[in-house]
Amino acid sequence: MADKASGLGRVITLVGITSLVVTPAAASVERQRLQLQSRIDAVRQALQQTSAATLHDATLTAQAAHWNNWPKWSKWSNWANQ
Amino acid sequence: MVEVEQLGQPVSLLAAAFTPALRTRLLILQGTPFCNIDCRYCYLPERNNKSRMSLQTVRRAAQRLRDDGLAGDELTVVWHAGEPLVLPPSYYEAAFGVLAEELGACTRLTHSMQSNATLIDDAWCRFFRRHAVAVGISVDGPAPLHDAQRRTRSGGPTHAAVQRGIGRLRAHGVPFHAIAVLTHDALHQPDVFFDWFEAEGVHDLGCNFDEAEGLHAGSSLEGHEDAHAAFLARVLERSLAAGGAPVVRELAQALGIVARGLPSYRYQGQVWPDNAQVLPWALLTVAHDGDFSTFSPEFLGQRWPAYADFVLGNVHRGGFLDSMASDAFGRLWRDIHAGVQACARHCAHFAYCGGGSPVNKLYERGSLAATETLYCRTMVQRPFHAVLQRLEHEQQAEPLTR
Repeated sequence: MADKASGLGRVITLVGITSLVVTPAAASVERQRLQLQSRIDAVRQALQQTSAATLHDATLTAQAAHWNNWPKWSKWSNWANQ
Repeated sequence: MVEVEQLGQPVSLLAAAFTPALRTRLLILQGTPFCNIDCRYCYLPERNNKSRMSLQTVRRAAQRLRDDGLAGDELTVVWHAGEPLVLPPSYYEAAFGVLAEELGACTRLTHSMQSNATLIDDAWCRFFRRHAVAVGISVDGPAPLHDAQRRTRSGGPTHAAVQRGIGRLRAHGVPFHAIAVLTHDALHQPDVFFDWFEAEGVHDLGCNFDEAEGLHAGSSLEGHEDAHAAFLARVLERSLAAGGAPVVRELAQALGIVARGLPSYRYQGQVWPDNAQVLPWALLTVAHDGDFSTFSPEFLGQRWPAYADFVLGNVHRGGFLDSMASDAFGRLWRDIHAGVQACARHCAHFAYCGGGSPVNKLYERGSLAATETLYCRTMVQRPFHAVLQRLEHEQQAEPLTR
């Protein structure tokens, strides 16, 4: 598996096998994955390049600051960490 | 294929294969499986069982956790998987003391209780304040939505009792969050739903849904996923318009992922996005009798012979890490990890999720090695896209980099 540096599993590369068959389904998933990553990259870049004051919706920025304290990704998140 | 990797190795070596080292983030203790009410969507199988966890079991669980090195800098204990408040405050006074004795020197302990709120009185509120307990209230919004599902054992409504409990919390200044279970009925009433939580002053709101698992065989959201997407978008709008409260947990988490991505872990030389439900012992569940399990907490008490009913051991007979050498753990881990690998191959959202929820894969798809579920779409994908679209809209409305 490649893309170890980012850890995002963005590209799955199969190595050490003698033949590689890319099915239409796999190609479709990879296309979706790259499209999603492109959108995320654009949003992250914009968030990094602007200050809170320049955001169109300051409320969203306030929420983002609050939301940043919620690091886990499941309904079993640790609410006590607020 | 890549997924053959570790399966031929002894599972006893498994714990050492993770970087960072395995740690328990959330210890779920089932003080009692009993519940004083009878919600229609409940998945718990032992709601009539009035057993309680002995203090000896509490102590043994804590000792095992400490001796196995699973306690990190911080540990949250949540009393759940039954209505915790059917046991008296004196029980928890003693149990908290035991946990502090065994774990207080090696970790910062916090306690959390997830309650239906019907039994909250002044004594409980004083207890919550004394121990800084993080209180979670299970309430589905206004009475018609709530009482349609959350019923007494004789079939009566419970909403009025919940409001009384919330009133006591407020009177004593006890902070609390709320967790609602969305059913189909709520999807077309996002404003009614939001209005109630806003009026009640709820700051933090989790929106679960009636998942198909355990005794609850089917979800009312099946076939209504577009309505759920619209519901989320509207709730996000309302939350922003209200100045950011209530904060909806799923949307909050989604923004965290969009903005910063998930942390990652290494397992046998590969990097994986973090998902507590597929990491051994990150979520550790101990039943009232000392039986323990990990991965999805909803496994507790369920029957599934191929996985030994998800019981990996008992704190009175062995440690958590030792159980990783058992057949029961080996089967469970093999299939859960196969499911994670399948998600990595087949799901475009894998980087933002890390492999879904094992319990939902099993109950929705019949296999832990399955990929996408209704749970994935409802709890991960739609919140993610609601937030992403909102941020993109913001950029288009007023470019952030002007």
